[in-house]
Amino acid sequence: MSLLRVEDLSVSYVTERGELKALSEVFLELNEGEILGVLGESGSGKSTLAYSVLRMLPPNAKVIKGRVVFEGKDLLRLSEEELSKIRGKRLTLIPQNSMNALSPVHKIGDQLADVLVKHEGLSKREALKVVKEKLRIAKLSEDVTNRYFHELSGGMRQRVMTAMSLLTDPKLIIADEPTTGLDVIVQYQLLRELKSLQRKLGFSMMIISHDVSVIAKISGFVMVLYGGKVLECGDVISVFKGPKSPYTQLLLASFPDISSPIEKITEIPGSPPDLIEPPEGCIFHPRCPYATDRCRSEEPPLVKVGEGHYARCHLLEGG
Amino acid sequence: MEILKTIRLKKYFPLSKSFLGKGSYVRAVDGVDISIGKGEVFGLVGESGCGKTTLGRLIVRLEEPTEGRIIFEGREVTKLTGKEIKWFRRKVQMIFQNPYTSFDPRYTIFDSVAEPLKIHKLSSSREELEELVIKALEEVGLVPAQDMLKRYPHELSGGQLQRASIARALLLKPDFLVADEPTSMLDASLRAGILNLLKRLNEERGMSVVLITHDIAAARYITKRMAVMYLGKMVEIGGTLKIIKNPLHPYTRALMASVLSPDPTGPMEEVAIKGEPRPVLEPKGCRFHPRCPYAMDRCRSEEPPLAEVEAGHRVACWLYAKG
Amino acid sequence: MNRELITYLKGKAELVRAIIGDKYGVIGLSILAVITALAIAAPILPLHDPYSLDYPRFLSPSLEHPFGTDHLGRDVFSRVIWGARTSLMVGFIAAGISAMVGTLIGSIAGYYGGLIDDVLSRLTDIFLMIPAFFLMLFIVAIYGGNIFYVMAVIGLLTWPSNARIMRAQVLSIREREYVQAAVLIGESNLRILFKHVIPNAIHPIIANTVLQAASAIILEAGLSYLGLGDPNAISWGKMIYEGQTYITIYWWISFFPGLAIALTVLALNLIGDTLSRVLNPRSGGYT
Repeated sequence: MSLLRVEDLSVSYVTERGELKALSEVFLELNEGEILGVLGESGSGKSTLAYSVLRMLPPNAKVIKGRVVFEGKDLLRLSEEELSKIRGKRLTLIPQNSMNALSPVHKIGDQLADVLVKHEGLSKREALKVVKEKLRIAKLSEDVTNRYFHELSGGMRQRVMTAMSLLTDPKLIIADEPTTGLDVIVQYQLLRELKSLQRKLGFSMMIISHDVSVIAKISGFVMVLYGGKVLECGDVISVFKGPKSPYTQLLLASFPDISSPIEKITEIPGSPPDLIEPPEGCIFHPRCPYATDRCRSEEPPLVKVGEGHYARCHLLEGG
Repeated sequence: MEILKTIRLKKYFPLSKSFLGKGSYVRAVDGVDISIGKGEVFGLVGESGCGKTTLGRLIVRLEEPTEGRIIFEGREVTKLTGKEIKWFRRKVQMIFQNPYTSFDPRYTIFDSVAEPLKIHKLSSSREELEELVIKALEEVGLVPAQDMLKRYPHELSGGQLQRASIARALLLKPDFLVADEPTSMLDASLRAGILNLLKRLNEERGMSVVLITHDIAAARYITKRMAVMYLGKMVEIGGTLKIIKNPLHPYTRALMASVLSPDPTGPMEEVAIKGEPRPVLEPKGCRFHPRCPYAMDRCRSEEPPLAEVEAGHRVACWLYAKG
Repeated sequence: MNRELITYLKGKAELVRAIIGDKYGVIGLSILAVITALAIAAPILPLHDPYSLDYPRFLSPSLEHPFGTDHLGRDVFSRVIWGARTSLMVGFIAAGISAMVGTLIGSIAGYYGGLIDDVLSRLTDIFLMIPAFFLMLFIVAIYGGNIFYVMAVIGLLTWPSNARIMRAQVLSIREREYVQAAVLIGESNLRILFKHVIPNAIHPIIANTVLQAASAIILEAGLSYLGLGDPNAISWGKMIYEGQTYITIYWWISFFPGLAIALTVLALNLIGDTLSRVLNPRSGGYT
């Protein structure tokens, strides 16, 4: 049985101008010990996906249809009480932009220990022991427990949030842009640490990022989102070495690789689609250099293009 | 031919204000000697806190240097007065990291972009102004330009605003443009557009471009020479490709090793560097020594000068000092 | 200039629309609109002569005299309406003076920084320390309670709050890239200050000015209540003072002017609160 299965998920936001279709019929499957990278630019729906799984969507969000099945239970249909036994315990989050994630007036150790005291019923002393252990695993020294959040550098703050997400030995960690905003060297180190942590402890991860390189380095599987739709998904090596969707191809081409010879980096003309009135047919057609009449009127289905590799594009059918 | 030169340029920001006695300082730029050629695309590279943005602002004279000299087109521009300011402003321009706050929200794109022409009295009639603005907008790829004129900043996307910024900067036909992290707040797919635009403008107009960035790949794409900065000092300077392929300074090595590529294969090796950067208040020796895996005694007491290791390639590190 | 005027007016229209959208704003605006309309129209309305002593004294409210008559036989209703002219004028002119002085001092201090900032900030602090009311009593006692003195004094004593707000705003707007861009293209500091910085920084001042108008009205009423206001003007405060001896029997003499003050101040506070809510999250724009 898979650890997480998202089936036919569609989520919209209610706005002044109308209904914004943030996610449309998204499917995904994640097994134990796997890392899924959700790749998308702003407006792609990647954050919506993450927060749908966590059921932490803003009040104007509506789940139109679909299921989010975690360890056999549909999270979208659980009661608050049942959800609280899973979320924050077996399913945790490393939030984006952790610069102010914790209170500046309480010690870090106390805040982290609080999680265990309240949710796992541990005593303060037992909780602190676990906290110190997790901080150590996250490559932080124990005395961080006595310091305040704002005293730490960006990289250290992110490591604290990582430690926090590990407190309850979760099965699945969702990391929302875990390295965005950090310096080059710190980002590299953090990513490397995250990767080795996952290998050592065996949890599953869903990483959300707009950075192709981050996704490339840490994911086992990747899902490319655009305008709320899955345009390509599969094993990361298949997708990145042989992208089949024009969007994926163009996106990869806009991230130059400094180790390969200089080619002209491409720009994708146009702008992200208006999700309140999305285009007919394929959602990418307005910006696609290969768009045909069929692309403009008919939405392409997700088809298999390789072992465990799927893409959504009319030009793929027929080989 | 050299267009800009700085000599032992320093900018210190006071940390605490005290009437009596000296407070402590953040040495944002601490003795930088740099020389940029006419028509050159030069990269200023480093992580946050290295001083690259401050150096950029010093060069365009948005900040006053604490010490040191700046020479532009042979003239001393360290202290600018009256008429000199107007002359300098027509020659040297800058675009900023945040396109969303680069325009006064109360004015239309036309008003904002035409402003430099109005101030320098470069046009007499409204029609002429409009024509010049439309041409500038078209040149940066904002089409249809006529439509853009009456739009307000909040109606444009980040990518469009950044292009409009460039258009505004270009109207005075500057010889020198500093681009401070011009793509870091834009989506990846838009970055290439801005970088390609800067490259093209440099080629077509012979305008020098200084690209301030932490994105090594962007620097590689458009710059020919670059300088790596760390805590206010220049640690390595030379040909861009050379530095990327064969970084000499331990910090540059760590930096290049940390650059991610979109290649899913290959392991992530450990990067040879310790700890975190901490702005040193009472510096002694090499700024990088607390984090350097090769630090020697000399590094802790004496600061290494930028010395030429091979033609056009200079490094500030005792590992390479001769003698 | 034309272009700026259009932008300016468009901004005002949106502002009014925003206030109307808020229910408290609507209430406040309506009350104020009625009071203002009555005050402006006072000379042409079919009111009894507010100065005339010919009517019978102490008449209780009736159709002929909706607010009754006072101890001197004057019609309270028309006096309340004429009093509105005094109060509104004092309120807005005093608040206006305060806004102009405060904006100027605060923005110059914030924009130029350094010694200028130090000097102006200390000046602001000194004025903040002065208890406005007592200084006013002092000045009025010496120079007399002429209404124009009162307005000027209130304005010149209450500007520090505006200066503080403005300085804080300017300190942050000064760092905005569009201000830096203006410096880069060679705009003079003065032009930048008045064209880009002040207009984008002034929003909290608008809300504060409305609230200051309310407190100016109360200050003036307080002065008049103590018998120190302008003896020639019809003032709500003075009316309350004059009617206080009879308050248990002929309550209407003090009650209606008091109610008028309360309503006016309430209306201004509602509008001021709505304004600060509406203008708050905008960093330099109404959208």
